[in-house]
Amino acid sequence: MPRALSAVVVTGLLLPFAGLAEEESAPGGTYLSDTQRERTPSITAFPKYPYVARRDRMEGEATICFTVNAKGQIIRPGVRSSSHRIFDKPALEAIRASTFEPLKPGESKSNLKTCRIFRFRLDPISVANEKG
Amino acid sequence: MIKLKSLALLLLAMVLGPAALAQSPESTKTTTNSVMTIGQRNPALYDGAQALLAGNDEQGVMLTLEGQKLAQGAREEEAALSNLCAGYIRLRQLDTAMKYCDTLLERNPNHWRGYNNRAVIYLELKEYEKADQDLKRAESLNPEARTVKVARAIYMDAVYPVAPAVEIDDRQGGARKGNDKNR
Repeated sequence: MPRALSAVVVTGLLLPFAGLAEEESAPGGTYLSDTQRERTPSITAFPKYPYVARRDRMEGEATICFTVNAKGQIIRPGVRSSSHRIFDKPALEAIRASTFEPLKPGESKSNLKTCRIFRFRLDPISVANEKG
Repeated sequence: MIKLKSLALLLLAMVLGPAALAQSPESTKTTTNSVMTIGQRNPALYDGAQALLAGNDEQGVMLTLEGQKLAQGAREEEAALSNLCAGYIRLRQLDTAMKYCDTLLERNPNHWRGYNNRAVIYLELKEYEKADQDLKRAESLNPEARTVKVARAIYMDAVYPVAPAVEIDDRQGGARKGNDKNR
């Protein structure tokens, strides 16, 4: 089993993300990460679900690549790939609202170049669960 | 979420067509030999549409009823019927709204707004099969209409509800799995 997948942290989170159009949906969120990373995320912003995608029942994903500097700031984010352009903007905005922990005094590391995948899903709700 | 916000938008949009159709009575165009009137000389219908757009539903319906009496030609009559259907939906008088939508669709079976408006009534009444039938007709007549897409979304949310979710994957292997196609 690849090392990257050997210790996966799955955390159910509901993180609000401000700054997008109010008609877009605040989705439920899940964060997947390796336990051993070069840099530790500080703020992980979740994107809103695009209104039109929600309306038209569109699911998909966007991969955003970026650099993390010594201060933990994300710089030069860019869309590496996405299933539909509609997911690019919310994913980029979420990345821009996210940060990593800064390097400790005396710690010396080069800027981290990495990527983050955003998967947008529409999970069926059973009527029984909704009523319950 | 889509239900409440979008229904208001949906109903507003229903009167846009007639609002554009029933132009101001002063709207004229001079040609070399004559003055050609653009739009229809029916200020009540125009003002009724504007009142409905502004959210003055009772006044909008009242003016549209006046405009209906003065309507000349099929387009004005159908605009009046369509707006009365939308107006009575907004006034929560669904039986009356249904009557106007039915009349409209008897006159013009290809009026996509009529099917869309009636679908909204069926959605309100939780008669989802009938709503689906009318939405299919509206979609076939005007596949790109935003109001029809919103009505379809309301139907889908009622019948097949979903919850939006976003998964963030920071795994190194996961990130590498991102494909580059469809760009």
